[in-house]
Amino acid sequence: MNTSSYSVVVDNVSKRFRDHIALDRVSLSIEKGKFIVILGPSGAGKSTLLKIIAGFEKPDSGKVYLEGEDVTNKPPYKRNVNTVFQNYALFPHMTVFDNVAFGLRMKGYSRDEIARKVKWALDLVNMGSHINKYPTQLSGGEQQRVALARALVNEPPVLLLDEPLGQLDLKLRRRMQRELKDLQRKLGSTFIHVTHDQEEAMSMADIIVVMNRGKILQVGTPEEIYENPSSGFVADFIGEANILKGVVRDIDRNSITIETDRGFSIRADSSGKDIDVGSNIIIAIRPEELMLSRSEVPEGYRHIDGVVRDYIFMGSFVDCYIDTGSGELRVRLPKGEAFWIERRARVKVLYRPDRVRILSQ
Amino acid sequence: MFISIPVAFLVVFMIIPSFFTLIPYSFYRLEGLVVVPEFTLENYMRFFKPIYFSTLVRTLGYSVAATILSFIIMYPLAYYIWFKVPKEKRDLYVLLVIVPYWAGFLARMYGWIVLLRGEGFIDGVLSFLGLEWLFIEILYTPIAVIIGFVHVYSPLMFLAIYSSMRNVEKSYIDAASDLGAGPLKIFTNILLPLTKPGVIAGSIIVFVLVFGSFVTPALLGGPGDIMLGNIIERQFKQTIDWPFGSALAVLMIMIVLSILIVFRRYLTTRVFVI
Repeated sequence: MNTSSYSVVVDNVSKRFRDHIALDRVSLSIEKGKFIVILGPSGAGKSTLLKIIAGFEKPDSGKVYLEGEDVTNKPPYKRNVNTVFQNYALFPHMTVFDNVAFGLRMKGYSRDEIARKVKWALDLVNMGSHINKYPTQLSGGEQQRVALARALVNEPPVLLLDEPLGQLDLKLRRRMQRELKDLQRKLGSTFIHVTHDQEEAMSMADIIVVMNRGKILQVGTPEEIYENPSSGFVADFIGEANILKGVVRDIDRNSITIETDRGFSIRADSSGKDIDVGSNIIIAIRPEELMLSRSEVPEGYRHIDGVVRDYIFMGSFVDCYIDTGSGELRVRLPKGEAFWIERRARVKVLYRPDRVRILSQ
Repeated sequence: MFISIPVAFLVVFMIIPSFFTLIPYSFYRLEGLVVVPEFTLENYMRFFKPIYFSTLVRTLGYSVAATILSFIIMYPLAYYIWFKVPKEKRDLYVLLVIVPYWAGFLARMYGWIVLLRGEGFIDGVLSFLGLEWLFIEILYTPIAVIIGFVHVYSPLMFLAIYSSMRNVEKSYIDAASDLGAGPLKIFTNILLPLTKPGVIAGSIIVFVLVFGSFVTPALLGGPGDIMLGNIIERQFKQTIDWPFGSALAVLMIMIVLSILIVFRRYLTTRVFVI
């Protein structure tokens, strides 16, 4: 593999902690200048992957390349990456200035250069006026910015972010997400950001890497992953989805009929897929791509009969839970279209066969 | 209430004895075997004779050596137990370090005599290995005295350092390494500053306890290895020169007090919260 054209290459890396397999033969090539988000639930191995790239953990097998150089056996202080830690890890005995200057001092920069670069980095994160404070005198968001400046001041070609926004409140988190994305565009370096928050991943990433149980499940742009999830897990984790299991009962040119485990049959567009009658299949339908009506079925739609079991007002939309016989479907309606919904009402769940995603056979 | 009990303890056992016996006696004159309550500075002047002054230097030397050795042994151990030992085993390891401190003091001293004496345990092991040429006379030398001190008091150094070490998060070390600091720079820039209160508290405790010792040099040292404590003991038990003994005791208290005052801000009880 030509590793030098990539920012980071992880080649067949495995890592085991006692009896827990944290990473299972993971391979990943990361292009230069991209914002990568590694997404997965806790215990997926995403932080371990980041620690292996940074050098805090050694892989049991496999290799890590940074800018084409094999760094598998190099300690962190000899790697040209910097990390923003989950708990910020600001040195409590140093001022903001000294924290940010730390990396430059280790590399032996002159006093003037250090002062200039620290100012640049702190201005970058809007913390220029706090240089003489100690970390304990800063709020969580401010500590976050200092941690970012401390890493960015070294101008690393690769910046690693280990769930850095996890401890911030929602509003601040949304703002920092946009700021991080802007920073990455401005600096043009590679950012690798770990999170378990799929909205965060969608809003920031050029490329999302979905992980679960030590494996990479899918790599792609947010749109690709949302539109074409490779598995039920990905479909459910990125956005929300009704995941259904079923058996193919009939095939008619480009569409198939599936008998699901929830007491109804559903039609799906199968163009380009090779499917046999009788095969087991998993499909996903996103709640926001379903509609409800009392009786009429518009052109191009098909329907499933059901009864409203419950509905929950979520602000700008309403989530309706529809009993379909031996199971449930979630339907997400815009607030303005849900005024007529009431419990125990008989409804038709409307769907378009081309929005039913066939995940696996 | 909680403050007044230690204060009362201090008053009853330190201040009253000092003010009513030690300090007045240190200014009295001795005639033959009789203490005459007449003011004199002679007792203090005597201290500056070479024999006593060199004992002070030796006493300071033991104290510094035992303190530094305790630090060199216990700092890596505290680091190891806090950062490398799995969480569920840490308390056990800490206990193993402290347990010897609870064993009888004299038992441990005699234990060292058995180990160190000529044809003792260590010599036995060496001759079994055919290493007779390594025989060294350690018992009744300053080295034996210092070994004894380090053995007895280093667990206190450990406790002080360990409780400071617990405030150092692994991520500080990772962050420093991430920013380009090698092991030595991590030690000088991150670990040492963050554990400084524990190191200072542990050093003062070991230093002060060694400084006032007299049993260890008597048991493990030779006749030339005595400390100030031995000379004071001798004034009260053998030569019956209480005024001179008192003057020496006052001087020792002054030295210890001045050390405590200089470093007082590091001597919080928090250091020993484990």
